[in-house]
Amino acid sequence: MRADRLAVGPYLSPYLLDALSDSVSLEFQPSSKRVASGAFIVSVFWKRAFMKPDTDPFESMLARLHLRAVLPTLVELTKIDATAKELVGTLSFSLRFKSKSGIATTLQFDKGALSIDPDSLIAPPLQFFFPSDKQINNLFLKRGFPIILPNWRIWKLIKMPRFQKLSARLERILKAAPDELRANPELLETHIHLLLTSLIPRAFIELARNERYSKETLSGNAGLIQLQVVDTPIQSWLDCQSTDFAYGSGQAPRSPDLFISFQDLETALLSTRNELDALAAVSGGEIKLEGNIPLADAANAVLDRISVYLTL
Amino acid sequence: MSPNNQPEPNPSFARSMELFERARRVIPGGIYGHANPSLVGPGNSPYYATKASGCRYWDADGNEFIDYMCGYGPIVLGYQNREVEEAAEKQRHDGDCLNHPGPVMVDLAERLVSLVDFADWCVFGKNGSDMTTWALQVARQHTQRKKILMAEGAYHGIDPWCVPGHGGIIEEDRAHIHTFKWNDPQSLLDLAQIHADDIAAIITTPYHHPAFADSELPNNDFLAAIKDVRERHGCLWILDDIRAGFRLHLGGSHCYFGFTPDLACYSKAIANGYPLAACVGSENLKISSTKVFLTGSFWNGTVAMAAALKTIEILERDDGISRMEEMGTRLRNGLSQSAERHGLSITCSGPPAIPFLTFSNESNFFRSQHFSTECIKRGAFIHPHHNWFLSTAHTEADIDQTIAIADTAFESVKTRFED
Repeated sequence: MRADRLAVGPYLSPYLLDALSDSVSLEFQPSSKRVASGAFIVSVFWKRAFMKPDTDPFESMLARLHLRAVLPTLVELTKIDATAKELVGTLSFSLRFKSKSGIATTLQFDKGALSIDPDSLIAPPLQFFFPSDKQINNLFLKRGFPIILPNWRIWKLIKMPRFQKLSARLERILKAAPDELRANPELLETHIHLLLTSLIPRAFIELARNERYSKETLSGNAGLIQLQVVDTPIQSWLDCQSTDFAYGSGQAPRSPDLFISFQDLETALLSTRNELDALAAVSGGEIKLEGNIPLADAANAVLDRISVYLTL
Repeated sequence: MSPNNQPEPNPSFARSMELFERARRVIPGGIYGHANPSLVGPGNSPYYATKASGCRYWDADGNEFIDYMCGYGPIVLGYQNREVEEAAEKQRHDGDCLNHPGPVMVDLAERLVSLVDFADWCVFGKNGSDMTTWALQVARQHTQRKKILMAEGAYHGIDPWCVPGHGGIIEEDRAHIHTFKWNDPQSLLDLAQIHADDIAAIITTPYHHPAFADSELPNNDFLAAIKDVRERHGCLWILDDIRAGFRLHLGGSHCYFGFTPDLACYSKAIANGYPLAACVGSENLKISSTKVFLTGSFWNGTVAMAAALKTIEILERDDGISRMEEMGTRLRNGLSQSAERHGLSITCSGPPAIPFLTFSNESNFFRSQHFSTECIKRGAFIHPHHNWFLSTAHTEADIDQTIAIADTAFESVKTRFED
C-alpha cells in the first residue's frame, strides 16, 4: 500500500492539494509551476514522513481536534442548514483522513445522510493519508504546504466538488465575523448551534481523553452537564464519567447534575469567543449555573483549553 | 405561598445588583474570590453588606440576616464587639502603620507563645497564605529538602503551590507538592515511601474541611501515620489552623484533637475581623525561621495586633470556645431533628463551632443550593458549599430562630425534590 501511495503521490499530490485546499478554502490555486515541483515534493515528503518522528504533542492534539471536532461538525451542519442539505443532496461516498500517527476520521455520505466514524477499522475507497499530524494542521490552517497522499482509487475524487462546497459552507459559518453574526440572527443561531452542539463538546471530549492537563482537571469531577441557550432550540449535554465521556444534542438522557444556561445568543457568542467575564456573567444572571459547581469549574478549565488550540 | 402556608418572603436584592453592575465594569469578575455570588445564589442572595452587629448583618438593600459565615471565619466574638473595637480604636489613635513595630507586637508574641503549648516563637503576617507559604519555606530551609505532602482537596491559600483555581499555574509550581487522601493512613505512608528522604514537611489542617464536601475529623490511625512519617523521615508537620484556630481550643486546634505539630499557622479568628496572621514554632526551628525572609508593607500594623490581644483575652475570660460549642451543638441538633421530621436525610459534619450541612448522598448540590436560597430568603445567611462558623455572639434565640427558618426551608426542599 505504501508503495502505491509513493508511486502516485508525487504526480497527483499537487492536484489533490488543490482539490482539498478548496474544500477547506485554502487560498492557493493550481499552477503549472507547482506541478513541476514534483521531485521536490518527493524529497520533502520522504524526509518529513519517514525520517523525522511526529512527536510534537501540540500538533497531535490540534490534528485530533481538527479531525474529530471541527470536521465532524459537518454532520450537524447537514442536519440544520438548508444550504448544506441541498449541497449534499443524495450524495453517497466515503472519505477518510488519516495521519501516520493513527489519528483518523471517516466521513460517510449515504444517500445524503452524513455520519462520522472516527474509529472505523475499514478503510473507505478514498483515503487521504498525511505523513504527519502537522500536515493535517497545515491543511486546516492554510499553513505552509500540506503533504497529502491519496490512495489508488483516485477516481473517486469526482465526488469532491460537493464536499468542497460543503466544507466551505461550514467554514463560512464557523468563521463568520462577530459583526456579521450580529447583523444576521439566523446565521448567529446556526453558528452557536454548531459550536455548542458539536464542535465544542467534541473538542471537550478529545481534550478530556487525550490531554494530561484536562484529564487531571476533570479527575474526580463526574457528572452530566446540560447546556442550553434560553429561548432557542440549542441544547446539548456532556456526560463526564470517571472512565469515559459522551455528548449529544438536545435533552440529556437522564437528570443532569449541572445546568448551564446562556440567557441569549449574544452571551453564548461572547462566551465561545472567550470575550465574556464569565464570573461576572454568572453573578449578573446572563449565565445561569445550577448544580455541581466543582464540575462546572473543572469543565470550564477544560473548555478554556480549546482556545489554546483553536480560534473560535 | 410557602409550603407551610406562610406568606412567601420576597426580599429585594436590587441595590446589590445595581452595585454589581457598576462593579463589573471596573472590577474583573465584579466580586472575585470566595465572596463571588456564583458560589452562594446568584440573584437570590446579598452581594454587598453595609453594616453588621453581633451575629447579624445588613445588606445593601437593608435586608437583615442572622449570619453563619462570620466574614468567612474572622468574626469570633460577633461583629463590632465593643471591647475589641475600643482596643483597636485606642491603638489607631496612637498610630497603626509606623516605621517600626509597636510594643504591642512583643506583647502579642508573648501571649501566643504562652497560649500554644509547643510554641517558643511567633511571627506575623496579614493573611493565611502569608503564613502557610512561609512555613513551607521554613520547613525546606530546616530540612534542606523539597517535597511537601498535603491532603487531596485541602485548602491552604492562594499561592501558586496550593491555589484551587486553574489560571496562571505552571507545572513547576507544584512539581514538589504531592497529595495523599485524608484519613487514609496507607495513602500517606505510600506517598512518604516514594519521596522518602526528600520530604520537607507534611502540611495538614487540624481536620479536613474542603469546600463542596463534608468535613472530616481525623481518625487516630491517620494521626498516628502522620507522626510515624514525621519520625521515620525526619520531616516537619505544619498545621494550617487558619480556619479552625481560636474556635475549637484557645491553645490551638491540635490540643482539641490531641497531637503536636512543629509549626502552626493562624489567622481568621485571631483578631475578630482585623487583618492578622501568625505562625508559631518550636525552639529547634527558630534559627531556620530567621533565614527565610518575611515581610509586608502592613505586616507590622499595630491596630490588628491590639485587636488580637483583646480578642484572645475575651475568649479566655468568657470561655468563648465552650459557648460556641454549645450553640453549635444546639444548632446541629435542631437542624437534624427538623430534617428528620421532614423525612430528609442530612449530614451535619465538622465540629459544632464550625458546622456544615449537606444532604446525604447528593453529589450535585441541588438540594443544598435550594436549602441555602430558602434560608437566605427568610433571613439566615448560610452557605451551600462552604462550612459555616459560629461566634460567641450567637444566642439561644438566634439559634432557635435559625432552626425555625431551616424548618421551612427543609419543607421546601421536600416539596421540590422528594414529593
